[in-house]
Amino acid sequence: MIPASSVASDSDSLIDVDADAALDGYVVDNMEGAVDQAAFLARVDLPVAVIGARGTGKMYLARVVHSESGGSSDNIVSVDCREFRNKLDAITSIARELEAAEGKTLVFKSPHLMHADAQLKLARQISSRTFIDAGPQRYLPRARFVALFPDTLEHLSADYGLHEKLASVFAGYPIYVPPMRERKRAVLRWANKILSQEAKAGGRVMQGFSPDAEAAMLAHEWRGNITEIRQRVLGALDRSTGDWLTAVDLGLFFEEAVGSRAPEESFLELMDKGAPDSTTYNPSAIAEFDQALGVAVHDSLAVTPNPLGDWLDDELLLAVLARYQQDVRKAADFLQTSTRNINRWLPKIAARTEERRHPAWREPARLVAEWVREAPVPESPPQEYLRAKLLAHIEQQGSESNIKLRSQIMAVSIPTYQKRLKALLTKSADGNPAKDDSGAR
Amino acid sequence: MVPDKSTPSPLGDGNASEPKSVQQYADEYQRLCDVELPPVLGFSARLNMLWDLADAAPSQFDGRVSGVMAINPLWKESDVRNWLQKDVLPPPLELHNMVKFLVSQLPQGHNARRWEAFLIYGAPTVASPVDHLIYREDQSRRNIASLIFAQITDKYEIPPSAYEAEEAFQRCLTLMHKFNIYEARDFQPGHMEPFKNFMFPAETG
Repeated sequence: MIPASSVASDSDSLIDVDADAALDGYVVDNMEGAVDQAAFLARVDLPVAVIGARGTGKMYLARVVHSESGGSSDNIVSVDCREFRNKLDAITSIARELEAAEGKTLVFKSPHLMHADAQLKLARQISSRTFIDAGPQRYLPRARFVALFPDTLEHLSADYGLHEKLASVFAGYPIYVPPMRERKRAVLRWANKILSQEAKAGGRVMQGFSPDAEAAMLAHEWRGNITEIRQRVLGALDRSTGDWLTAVDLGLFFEEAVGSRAPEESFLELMDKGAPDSTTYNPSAIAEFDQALGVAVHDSLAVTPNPLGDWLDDELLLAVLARYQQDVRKAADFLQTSTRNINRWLPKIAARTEERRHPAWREPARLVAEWVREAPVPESPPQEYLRAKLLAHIEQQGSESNIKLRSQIMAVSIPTYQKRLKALLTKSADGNPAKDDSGAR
Repeated sequence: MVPDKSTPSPLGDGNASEPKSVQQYADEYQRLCDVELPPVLGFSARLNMLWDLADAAPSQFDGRVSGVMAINPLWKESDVRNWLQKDVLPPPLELHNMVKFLVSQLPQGHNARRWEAFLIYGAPTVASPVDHLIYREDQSRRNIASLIFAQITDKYEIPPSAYEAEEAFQRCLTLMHKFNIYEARDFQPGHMEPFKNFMFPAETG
């Protein structure tokens, strides 16, 4: 546990509370009232929509709904709608979960990604609380229904395939989870909480974050929200041997962050502005990854030619395994390869662990993991999709470099590089570039 | 009555240059008008929530539709099903009477008109009628309010005879909600003055 003296911002508090007690449990962050709302909705039978950008802690709120309604920890079922391969798969899987739902909380992750017919059927069943298959009318088992959405129901309905009926079922009293950038005061609480948990799990004794790390964390945008805090703290623990984590350990550079920060607005100005502008730039994980990959390629061309192609494949596989809790069969399905291949690749990936800790690779590695965590099951192999992005960057930035250097960065032989380049150019000429977001938001 | 175009718009917008003709307004009206009402997303879910809170009919898993019909035999099953399951709005008088009945089953302090508006438009267009309840029922927040209360009465030397404790406490909770104070560390030195003024208006007056 972090000593009370090192708990950030504790000294700011006018009210004396035990810092250790304040760090117990994630309820230390009330998410600007979202936790209160979840606790209230647990007492009524209302399908709950939890709306928030990637990494904001939507599943955590679903757990609050479940636990506050008296549910036990093994009775919350996550129905990951990104995993359904087609309409039939979605309908049969959901029917199976509904049949066995007595006393449970069913959490539908990204249901807007399902086939429209599957969405409509789910909407009808929840709104009438009955099975709508043929045969005598039957009520659904007593269950709670929660759905996690990355954006407002209106926006998803207008632009991203959310069926209006399903939107309406969950539109009663949605819970909005604000992004970290709108509640900077919570950043240090989460960071301290995560550090204390992870240090304990790893048998480390950590003093906390250095002042420069705290300042950098407060200045950072946290587009990946709580997930990004966790990733950065985990990465820092992995890299650091000391008992304080610094801004460099976290991969945050304070001066740069401060330089890019918008000028502070007064309290009254903020009140006057009202609701945050919905047009605020909020790139998807893959868009951020693309940018970070460009920086890594630049570094490789200008400083040291790192084998980014290998590293990219490695991170992708590790991220997919993490998504499926190390289930190799499911990871192979996602990657559209065989389990044998995965088992063959793993020792090589382990052998490259140290070299992948290169500072220029931290951001791309983190963002690949974030993208994989949120992405629907891709239609084409994700390796190809990411490799095409890497190749495009190499060609864009290194067209004047010799082909040996470019193939080294791609981590392939020169003939293979030429072959892939030809394929990329053909695709571009056909006007069929790789899909930009691969369905991920 | 046609507005006097020589006076500036009370909204202070930038339309003062060229006044529109009646024909232009008529065209604009035709361009903007919908042929049917836009869907009322979430109406049935909110109506069911109110029925849950009122506890006046069986749950949705136990025959709510028939339970509701039993309360007013004049209601038709298809209508009730539409209201409770298909986001169809009841006629205004029907909705008014239903909400009036349901709100009368709730503890005091609920406003039927506000519930009516919330059922139709939802949050955040209409502030949720249960918002303040969500906040106040949390024990840890009440503890923080107690601490703030103690700090302010101590700092400004306000004697117990100068206030009605329950009212001041409720005012404290209300302001904590407005200021998004969910944890002790959210309370800053700059909060002291506005809290004092709001909790103890007689002291400031």
